[in-house]
Amino acid sequence: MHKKFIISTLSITTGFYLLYSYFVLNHKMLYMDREYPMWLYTKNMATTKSNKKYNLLAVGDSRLKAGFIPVNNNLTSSLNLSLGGGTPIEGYYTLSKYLLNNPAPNHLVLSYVPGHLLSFSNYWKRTIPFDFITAKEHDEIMNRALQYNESALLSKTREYADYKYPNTYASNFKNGIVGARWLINDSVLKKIQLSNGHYFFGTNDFANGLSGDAFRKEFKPLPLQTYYFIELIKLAKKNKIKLHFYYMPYNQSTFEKLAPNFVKQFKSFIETISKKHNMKICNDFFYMSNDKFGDPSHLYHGAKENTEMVYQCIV
Amino acid sequence: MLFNSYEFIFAFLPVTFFIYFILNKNGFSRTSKSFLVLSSLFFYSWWNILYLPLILISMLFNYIIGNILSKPQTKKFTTLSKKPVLIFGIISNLSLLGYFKYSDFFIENLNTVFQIDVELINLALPLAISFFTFQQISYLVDSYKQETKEYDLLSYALFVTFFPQLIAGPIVHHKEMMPQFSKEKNNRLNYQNVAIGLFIFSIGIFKKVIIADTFAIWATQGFDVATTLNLFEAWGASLSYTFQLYFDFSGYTDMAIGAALLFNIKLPINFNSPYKALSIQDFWRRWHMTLSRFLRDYIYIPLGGNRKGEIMTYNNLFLTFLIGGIWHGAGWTFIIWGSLHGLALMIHRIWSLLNLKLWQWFSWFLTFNFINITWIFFRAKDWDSAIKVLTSMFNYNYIVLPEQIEKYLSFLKKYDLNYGNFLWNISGDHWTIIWIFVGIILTTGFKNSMEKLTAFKPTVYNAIFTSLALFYVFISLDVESEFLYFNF
Repeated sequence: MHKKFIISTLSITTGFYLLYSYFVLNHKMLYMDREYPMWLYTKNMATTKSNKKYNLLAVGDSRLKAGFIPVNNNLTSSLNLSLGGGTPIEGYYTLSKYLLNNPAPNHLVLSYVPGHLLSFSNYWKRTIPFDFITAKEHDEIMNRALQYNESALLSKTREYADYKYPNTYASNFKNGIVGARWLINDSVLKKIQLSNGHYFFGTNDFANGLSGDAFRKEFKPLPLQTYYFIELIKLAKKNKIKLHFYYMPYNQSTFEKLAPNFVKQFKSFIETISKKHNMKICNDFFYMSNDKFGDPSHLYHGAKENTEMVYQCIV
Repeated sequence: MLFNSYEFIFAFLPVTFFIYFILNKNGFSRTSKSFLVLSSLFFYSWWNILYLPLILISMLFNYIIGNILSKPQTKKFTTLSKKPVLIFGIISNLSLLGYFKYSDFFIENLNTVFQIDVELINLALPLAISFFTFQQISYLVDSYKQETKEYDLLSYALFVTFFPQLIAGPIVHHKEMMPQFSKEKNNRLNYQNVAIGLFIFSIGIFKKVIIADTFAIWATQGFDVATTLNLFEAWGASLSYTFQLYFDFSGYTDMAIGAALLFNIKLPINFNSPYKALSIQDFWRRWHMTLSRFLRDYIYIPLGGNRKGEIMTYNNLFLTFLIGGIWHGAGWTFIIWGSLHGLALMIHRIWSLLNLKLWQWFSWFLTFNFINITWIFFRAKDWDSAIKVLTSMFNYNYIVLPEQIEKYLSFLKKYDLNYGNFLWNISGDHWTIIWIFVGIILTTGFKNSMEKLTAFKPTVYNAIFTSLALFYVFISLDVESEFLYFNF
């Protein structure tokens, strides 16, 4: 009787664990946060073979994702493959994979908030756990990081292999199950599919809070992010895509707090690259009123107006 | 090596278990015992091999002294002539403990009182030193009283080092351990013990990994990080620690009992629903019971217990708990904690002698709150942190209520009550409140793990419960956290 108890207990535990391992490694839509379906959409669009040629492709971070609503009609077609927390590293791999599987678009609009060139904070939080890049691509990145002595990326506490290990996802899994995230994720994915990659983050009528750049005093881009930013531009040029850089608006509260030196350094960085690689800069640093924002970083009511400005840039 | 680590659960424990019983099955019972001692020393050395010589020397020293003391009395070698040997043994043990545990505390106080600047030694506290020192002092005292037999070195080594109880108890007594080590029957694999061991181990690890470590977040924030606390945050932090400590330590004990049972060794019960206690005396009969037993048998009774009149009884009670406080750590907060418990026991004795009665619910309420408040001194890293939490618990001028209820109780604003994230400073939210209620219900409304152990039956329900607990723990082991009593 007791022997049976021991065997069944150990067998059931093993069974549970195997089941758990299968689900956490293969069905991340079940439990990851709502960023996952957004990244999944971009990855799928980039890696799925298609003959559809878009006029405009948008690649950037969450501000562009929320602030640019792709229009698809008889006159134009566009696709937004921006990523929440995305940096030029993810942008480069998005475009390179996209071009392998799809016809090159006529225009590429790039937009990154300065902060995303200053850190790799989402690399181990999203890029790797969301399986956005392959092991080979990760190795490429790490080799480049070694070349540039990029300590912020090299001094990691985890290895790529850890993310193939089910327990790494335990807290995500628990939060996902408690929060019924599969329902949220499913609805996010459907929304993104219907809107060609657009997604609203904050949906408040007003946002007078400050976004991260309000607290930065200087802009010193990380060498590896700069490298991938330039590679992204070169890749677009190589494929004869017209290239545009668009400064996304800040909310008024943040704009008023921006350090002049920080703004000057970032603009100088973009202008230098623009001159060297023939990239058109669409606009200047600007703000929209707080009631155009759904949260301190992302447009909501102002997204349509901003989208029009993006289109005006490529005309 | 922690009980709640992959290396313990998936490597050390199964390997030790299988080799031990394979050796026994093939008739190598003495080799199996040696193997268990070596495994236990390996388990101990996993943290820091530098302390291995310390435990070995302590063990050998006490074994030799114990053997001298336990020798039958002769005309030449009387109880009187043994006394200096006993005193030497006890002083040596206490000196070792004092050197590692209390040197810096002593120097700090010396510096303060005499305004001098003696440099601190900054010694790391060797793991388990408080536990194996107490265990061996009791062995020496009993040897002196002729209550021990002449144990062989191997059995004695196993008594001191047996890995399930080595690090944080229960504080075992040679009388309950030695006979088990020598019992032939215990060398055979016993499926009933393995099943119960597995069951109780899973309860223990669940208590630690899932419950205690959840409370730890709010307690740590409240005691160590937050600079100010509102009334709810202070209560949240103190209650979180109260439950963290219980689930952490009793969880460790359950794991120790479970692991020992795999080897057919029954460790003594250490917790018996302490938060159900209706008086402070009742609490100490339920909390860290093997420490209470040690304090009673080797401090309170030798001091005279209640045999030397009422005043001396109060004195002995107070002294015993003062020593209990100091045993837990070198710091004034521990001394205050021990003194408060000593005082409470004195008051309880007076109360009992006067034959006064209280409603049962009020007795529980009073006892629980006394314990909760005194744990603040036990937990706080210094006096200021303790006072921060304690004063905030009764600061009615700084109350923040949950913003969710603002629309229903907005009239309270005129009494200077604010609305907002009411548990912000302890990184809490409504889940903190839910967990605290769960803590109260689990500790006061349910049977404890020892009662479950006694009533254990190998049913499907228990198999599923054990499996679920183990599964949930296995996927939560990614972050290792030490047990609180490892610090003592």
